[in-house]
Amino acid sequence: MYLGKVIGRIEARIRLPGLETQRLVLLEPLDFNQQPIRWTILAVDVTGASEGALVVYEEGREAANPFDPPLAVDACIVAIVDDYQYQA
Amino acid sequence: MFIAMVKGTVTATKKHPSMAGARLLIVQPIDAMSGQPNGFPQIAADVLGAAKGMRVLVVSDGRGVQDMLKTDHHCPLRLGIMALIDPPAGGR
Repeated sequence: MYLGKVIGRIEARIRLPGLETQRLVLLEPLDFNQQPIRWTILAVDVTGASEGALVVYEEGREAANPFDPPLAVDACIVAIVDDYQYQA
Repeated sequence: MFIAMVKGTVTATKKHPSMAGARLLIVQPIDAMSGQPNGFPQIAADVLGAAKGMRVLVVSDGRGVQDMLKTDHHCPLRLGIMALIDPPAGGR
C-alpha cells in the first residue's frame, strides 16, 4: 500500500452501477518526505477522508475487494493516517 | 514475495475493519543478494511485531494477507509481512 494526500473530490452524475453512492476523490501519491512522486490518481474513499488528509491507499485488484458486488475500481483509500515515523 | 527492511511505522485509527488486528509498517524493498535498496518504500501489514531495522519477507498478494489477518475477501490490503528474516550469523 502507499501514502497519499486527498486533494479534491469528483462529482460525476452518470456512473456504472454500484458506483452511484461511492465517494470519488483526487489523490496525490506521496513519498515519505511528503513529496509528490507521480501523477494524481482517482480513488474510491470508504473512510470519509477530508480534503488535505494523509491517507493509505491500495492500487490494484485488491482495491475492488471491499465492495459487494466488486466494483470496477483499482484504487481505494484504506486508512486515514494519524501519524507516521520514517527514517530512510 | 520480496525481501525488505523495516523503515518506519504508520498509525491510523480510522481504517477498513479488516485491518483491525494489524500494524502498518513502512518497508523498503532491498536486493536479496546485495542488500541494496531497490524500488520505493511501501506500506505493509504486520502481525509478527517486526521492528525498525529488521529484514522481513513481504508477500504482495491480497489472498496471502487475508489469510495472515484471518479476514475475508473484503480486505483491500495487498502487502503483508510473512516472516522476520534472521540476522546474519554475526548478528547486527
